[in-house]
Amino acid sequence: MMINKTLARLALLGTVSIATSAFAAPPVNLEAAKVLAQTCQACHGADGNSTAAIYPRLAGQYADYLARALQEYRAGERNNPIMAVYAENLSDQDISNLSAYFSAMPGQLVDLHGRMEGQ
Amino acid sequence: MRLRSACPEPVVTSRMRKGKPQALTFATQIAILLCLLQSPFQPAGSGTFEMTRALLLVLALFSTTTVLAQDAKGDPAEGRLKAYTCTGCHGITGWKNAYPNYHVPRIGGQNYDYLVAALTEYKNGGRKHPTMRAQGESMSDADIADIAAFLSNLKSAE
Repeated sequence: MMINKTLARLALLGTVSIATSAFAAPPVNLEAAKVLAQTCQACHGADGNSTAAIYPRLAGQYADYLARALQEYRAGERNNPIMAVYAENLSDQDISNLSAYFSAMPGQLVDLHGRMEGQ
Repeated sequence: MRLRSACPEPVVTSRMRKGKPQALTFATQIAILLCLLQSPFQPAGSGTFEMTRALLLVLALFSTTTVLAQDAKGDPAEGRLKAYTCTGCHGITGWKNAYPNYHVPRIGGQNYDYLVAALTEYKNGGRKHPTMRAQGESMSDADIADIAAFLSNLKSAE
Protein backbone atom coordinates (compact mmCIF):
# COMPACT_ATOMS: atom_id res chain seq x y z
CA MET A 1 0.00 0.00 0.00
CA MET A 2 2.75 2.35 1.11
CA ILE A 3 4.86 1.48 -1.93
CA ASN A 4 1.92 2.05 -4.26
CA LYS A 5 1.37 5.52 -2.82
CA THR A 6 5.02 6.40 -3.21
CA LEU A 7 4.99 5.16 -6.78
CA ALA A 8 1.91 7.22 -7.52
CA ARG A 9 3.57 10.30 -6.07
CA LEU A 10 6.70 9.71 -8.11
CA ALA A 11 4.64 9.30 -11.27
CA LEU A 12 2.83 12.54 -10.53
CA LEU A 13 6.08 14.35 -9.90
CA GLY A 14 7.46 13.01 -13.18
CA THR A 15 4.43 14.25 -15.11
CA VAL A 16 4.71 17.69 -13.54
CA SER A 17 8.42 18.03 -14.28
CA ILE A 18 7.94 16.90 -17.90
CA ALA A 19 5.10 19.41 -18.29
CA THR A 20 7.22 22.19 -16.78
CA SER A 21 10.25 21.50 -18.94
CA ALA A 22 8.08 21.51 -22.08
CA PHE A 23 7.07 25.11 -21.39
CA ALA A 24 10.38 26.39 -20.07
CA ALA A 25 12.33 28.80 -22.28
CA PRO A 26 15.35 27.31 -24.05
CA PRO A 27 18.68 27.94 -22.31
CA VAL A 28 20.25 31.24 -23.28
CA ASN A 29 23.42 31.26 -25.38
CA LEU A 30 25.17 34.59 -24.78
CA GLU A 31 28.09 33.77 -27.07
CA ALA A 32 25.71 33.34 -29.99
CA ALA A 33 23.97 36.58 -28.99
CA LYS A 34 27.27 38.46 -29.06
CA VAL A 35 27.69 37.71 -32.77
CA LEU A 36 24.07 38.47 -33.69
CA ALA A 37 24.01 41.65 -31.60
CA GLN A 38 26.57 43.36 -33.81
CA THR A 39 23.78 44.26 -36.24
CA CYS A 40 21.66 45.76 -33.45
CA GLN A 41 24.58 47.75 -32.06
CA ALA A 42 24.85 49.96 -35.14
CA CYS A 43 21.71 51.76 -34.04
CA HIS A 44 21.17 50.74 -30.40
CA GLY A 45 24.75 51.42 -29.31
CA ALA A 46 27.60 49.04 -28.51
CA ASP A 47 26.53 49.03 -24.86
CA GLY A 48 22.79 49.03 -25.62
CA ASN A 49 22.48 52.69 -24.65
CA SER A 50 21.59 54.32 -27.94
CA THR A 51 22.66 57.95 -28.13
CA ALA A 52 20.53 58.58 -31.23
CA ALA A 53 17.25 59.54 -29.58
CA ILE A 54 15.00 57.91 -32.17
CA TYR A 55 16.31 54.44 -31.23
CA PRO A 56 15.35 52.97 -27.86
CA ARG A 57 17.82 52.13 -25.15
CA LEU A 58 17.87 48.35 -24.65
CA ALA A 59 20.39 48.08 -21.82
CA GLY A 60 18.72 47.05 -18.57
CA GLN A 61 15.30 46.57 -20.16
CA TYR A 62 13.35 43.49 -19.04
CA ALA A 63 14.43 40.54 -21.20
CA ASP A 64 10.89 39.23 -21.63
CA TYR A 65 9.71 42.65 -22.84
CA LEU A 66 12.54 42.82 -25.39
CA ALA A 67 11.63 39.31 -26.55
CA ARG A 68 7.98 40.28 -26.88
CA ALA A 69 8.90 43.38 -28.91
CA LEU A 70 11.07 41.32 -31.28
CA GLN A 71 8.29 38.76 -31.69
CA GLU A 72 5.87 41.56 -32.55
CA TYR A 73 8.25 43.05 -35.11
CA ARG A 74 8.77 39.58 -36.59
CA ALA A 75 5.03 38.95 -36.81
CA GLY A 76 4.33 42.40 -38.27
CA GLU A 77 2.29 43.36 -35.22
CA ARG A 78 4.45 46.43 -34.84
CA ASN A 79 4.81 48.49 -37.98
CA ASN A 80 8.45 49.42 -38.25
CA PRO A 81 10.12 48.92 -41.62
CA ILE A 82 13.65 48.81 -40.16
CA MET A 83 12.92 46.37 -37.36
CA ALA A 84 10.70 44.23 -39.60
CA VAL A 85 13.73 43.50 -41.80
CA TYR A 86 15.99 42.55 -38.91
CA ALA A 87 13.43 40.56 -36.91
CA GLU A 88 12.16 38.64 -39.91
CA ASN A 89 14.89 36.01 -39.85
CA LEU A 90 15.30 35.64 -36.09
CA SER A 91 14.45 32.26 -34.55
CA ASP A 92 12.85 31.97 -31.11
CA GLN A 93 16.28 30.97 -29.81
CA ASP A 94 17.89 34.07 -31.40
CA ILE A 95 15.26 36.30 -29.80
CA SER A 96 15.76 34.72 -26.42
CA ASN A 97 19.56 35.05 -26.72
CA LEU A 98 19.50 38.69 -27.85
CA SER A 99 16.97 39.72 -25.22
CA ALA A 100 19.03 38.24 -22.41
CA TYR A 101 22.20 39.79 -23.81
CA PHE A 102 20.91 43.38 -23.93
CA SER A 103 18.92 43.08 -20.73
CA ALA A 104 22.08 42.19 -18.82
CA MET A 105 23.89 45.35 -19.94
CA PRO A 106 24.02 48.19 -17.41
CA GLY A 107 21.78 51.13 -18.33
CA GLN A 108 19.76 54.04 -17.05
CA LEU A 109 16.23 52.68 -17.58
CA VAL A 110 13.94 52.80 -14.55
CA ASP A 111 10.31 52.15 -13.74
CA LEU A 112 8.24 55.04 -12.38
CA HIS A 113 8.10 53.84 -8.80
CA GLY A 114 8.73 56.81 -6.50
CA ARG A 115 9.22 59.18 -9.43
CA MET A 116 5.89 60.99 -9.36
CA GLU A 117 4.38 63.80 -7.32
CA GLY A 118 3.84 62.91 -3.68
CA GLN A 119 5.82 59.67 -3.78
CA MET B 1 -14.40 92.19 -5.90
CA ARG B 2 -12.81 89.95 -3.34
CA LEU B 3 -14.02 86.88 -5.19
CA ARG B 4 -12.56 88.19 -8.41
CA SER B 5 -9.14 88.76 -6.95
CA ALA B 6 -9.15 85.28 -5.44
CA CYS B 7 -9.69 83.73 -8.85
CA PRO B 8 -6.61 82.00 -10.18
CA GLU B 9 -5.13 83.31 -13.38
CA PRO B 10 -6.23 81.50 -16.51
CA VAL B 11 -4.08 78.49 -17.15
CA VAL B 12 -1.76 79.17 -20.07
CA THR B 13 0.57 76.32 -20.79
CA SER B 14 3.90 76.90 -22.44
CA ARG B 15 2.53 75.16 -25.52
CA MET B 16 -0.40 77.58 -25.83
CA ARG B 17 1.95 80.52 -25.52
CA LYS B 18 4.14 79.05 -28.20
CA GLY B 19 1.25 78.62 -30.63
CA LYS B 20 0.87 82.15 -31.99
CA PRO B 21 4.48 83.14 -32.58
CA GLN B 22 5.00 79.83 -34.29
CA ALA B 23 2.13 80.51 -36.73
CA LEU B 24 3.46 84.01 -37.38
CA THR B 25 6.94 82.71 -38.00
CA PHE B 26 5.57 80.18 -40.44
CA ALA B 27 3.71 82.90 -42.37
CA THR B 28 6.84 85.04 -42.41
CA GLN B 29 8.85 82.13 -43.73
CA ILE B 30 6.42 81.59 -46.61
CA ALA B 31 6.57 85.28 -47.51
CA ILE B 32 10.37 85.32 -47.42
CA LEU B 33 10.62 82.18 -49.49
CA LEU B 34 8.24 83.68 -52.08
CA CYS B 35 10.46 86.76 -52.28
CA LEU B 36 13.51 84.56 -52.79
CA LEU B 37 11.78 82.51 -55.47
CA GLN B 38 10.96 85.62 -57.46
CA SER B 39 14.63 86.58 -57.65
CA PRO B 40 15.40 85.21 -61.16
CA PHE B 41 12.88 87.65 -62.58
CA GLN B 42 14.51 90.67 -60.98
CA PRO B 43 17.17 92.69 -62.83
CA ALA B 44 20.57 91.26 -61.93
CA GLY B 45 23.48 93.21 -60.54
CA SER B 46 21.44 95.64 -58.44
CA GLY B 47 23.40 96.15 -55.21
CA THR B 48 20.38 97.09 -53.11
CA PHE B 49 18.45 94.07 -54.33
CA GLU B 50 21.32 91.69 -53.57
CA MET B 51 21.60 93.12 -50.08
CA THR B 52 17.88 92.71 -49.50
CA ARG B 53 18.09 89.14 -50.75
CA ALA B 54 20.93 88.36 -48.37
CA LEU B 55 19.03 89.90 -45.49
CA LEU B 56 15.92 87.91 -46.35
CA LEU B 57 17.97 84.71 -46.52
CA VAL B 58 19.38 85.37 -43.05
CA LEU B 59 15.87 86.08 -41.77
CA ALA B 60 14.55 82.86 -43.32
CA LEU B 61 17.31 80.82 -41.71
CA PHE B 62 16.76 82.49 -38.36
CA SER B 63 13.01 81.90 -38.38
CA THR B 64 13.53 78.25 -39.34
CA THR B 65 15.85 77.62 -36.43
CA THR B 66 13.41 79.40 -34.08
CA VAL B 67 10.58 77.09 -35.16
CA LEU B 68 12.77 74.02 -34.76
CA ALA B 69 13.82 75.10 -31.29
CA GLN B 70 10.22 75.63 -30.24
CA ASP B 71 9.16 72.25 -31.58
CA ALA B 72 12.11 70.41 -30.06
CA LYS B 73 10.58 69.00 -26.89
CA GLY B 74 7.56 68.85 -24.70
CA ASP B 75 7.34 70.29 -21.21
CA PRO B 76 8.61 67.86 -18.53
CA ALA B 77 6.68 69.63 -15.75
CA GLU B 78 3.41 69.18 -17.68
CA GLY B 79 4.49 65.64 -18.47
CA ARG B 80 4.93 64.79 -14.79
CA LEU B 81 1.24 65.51 -14.22
CA LYS B 82 0.08 63.80 -17.40
CA ALA B 83 2.16 60.67 -16.71
CA TYR B 84 0.25 59.89 -13.51
CA THR B 85 -1.86 57.24 -15.29
CA CYS B 86 1.29 55.51 -16.53
CA THR B 87 2.30 54.62 -12.98
CA GLY B 88 -0.67 52.23 -12.75
CA CYS B 89 1.45 49.72 -14.66
CA HIS B 90 4.89 51.28 -15.26
CA GLY B 91 5.24 52.43 -11.65
CA ILE B 92 5.13 49.01 -10.04
CA THR B 93 8.52 47.32 -10.02
CA GLY B 94 8.28 43.94 -11.74
CA TRP B 95 4.67 44.42 -12.89
CA LYS B 96 3.68 42.00 -15.63
CA ASN B 97 1.35 42.17 -18.58
CA ALA B 98 -1.21 39.35 -18.46
CA TYR B 99 -1.89 37.01 -21.42
CA PRO B 100 0.76 36.88 -22.66
CA ASN B 101 2.84 37.20 -19.55
CA TYR B 102 5.80 39.56 -19.77
CA HIS B 103 7.12 42.53 -17.83
CA VAL B 104 5.79 45.96 -18.78
CA PRO B 105 8.84 47.89 -19.99
CA ARG B 106 10.96 50.27 -17.96
CA ILE B 107 10.18 53.61 -19.60
CA GLY B 108 11.97 56.07 -17.30
CA GLY B 109 15.21 57.30 -18.87
CA GLN B 110 14.20 56.06 -22.32
CA ASN B 111 15.12 58.25 -25.31
CA TYR B 112 12.75 61.14 -26.07
CA ASP B 113 12.23 60.67 -29.81
CA TYR B 114 11.65 56.95 -29.40
CA LEU B 115 9.02 57.54 -26.69
CA VAL B 116 7.23 60.03 -28.97
CA ALA B 117 7.35 57.54 -31.85
CA ALA B 118 6.12 54.63 -29.71
CA LEU B 119 3.22 56.57 -28.16
CA THR B 120 2.24 57.91 -31.59
CA GLU B 121 2.21 54.35 -32.95
CA TYR B 122 -0.10 53.24 -30.13
CA LYS B 123 -2.27 56.27 -30.88
CA ASN B 124 -2.58 55.56 -34.61
CA GLY B 125 -2.76 51.77 -34.36
CA GLY B 126 0.75 50.95 -35.59
CA ARG B 127 1.18 49.06 -32.32
CA LYS B 128 -1.67 46.87 -31.16
CA HIS B 129 -1.40 46.53 -27.37
CA PRO B 130 -5.04 47.17 -26.25
CA THR B 131 -4.32 49.07 -23.03
CA MET B 132 -1.63 51.19 -24.62
CA ARG B 133 -3.79 51.85 -27.69
CA ALA B 134 -6.55 53.17 -25.40
CA GLN B 135 -4.02 55.39 -23.61
CA GLY B 136 -2.49 56.62 -26.87
CA GLU B 137 -5.87 57.47 -28.36
CA SER B 138 -6.64 59.69 -25.37
CA MET B 139 -3.43 61.71 -25.87
CA SER B 140 -2.89 64.76 -28.06
CA ASP B 141 0.46 65.25 -29.79
CA ALA B 142 1.26 67.85 -27.12
CA ASP B 143 0.45 65.32 -24.35
CA ILE B 144 2.77 62.79 -25.98
CA ALA B 145 5.58 65.35 -26.24
CA ASP B 146 5.16 66.40 -22.59
CA ILE B 147 5.05 62.82 -21.28
CA ALA B 148 8.08 61.85 -23.37
CA ALA B 149 9.97 64.91 -22.08
CA PHE B 150 9.24 63.94 -18.47
CA LEU B 151 10.09 60.25 -18.91
CA SER B 152 13.29 60.82 -20.86
CA ASN B 153 14.57 63.14 -18.12
CA LEU B 154 14.40 60.39 -15.48
CA LYS B 155 17.67 58.66 -14.72
CA SER B 156 18.49 55.67 -12.55
CA ALA B 157 21.01 57.75 -10.60
CA GLU B 158 18.41 60.33 -9.49
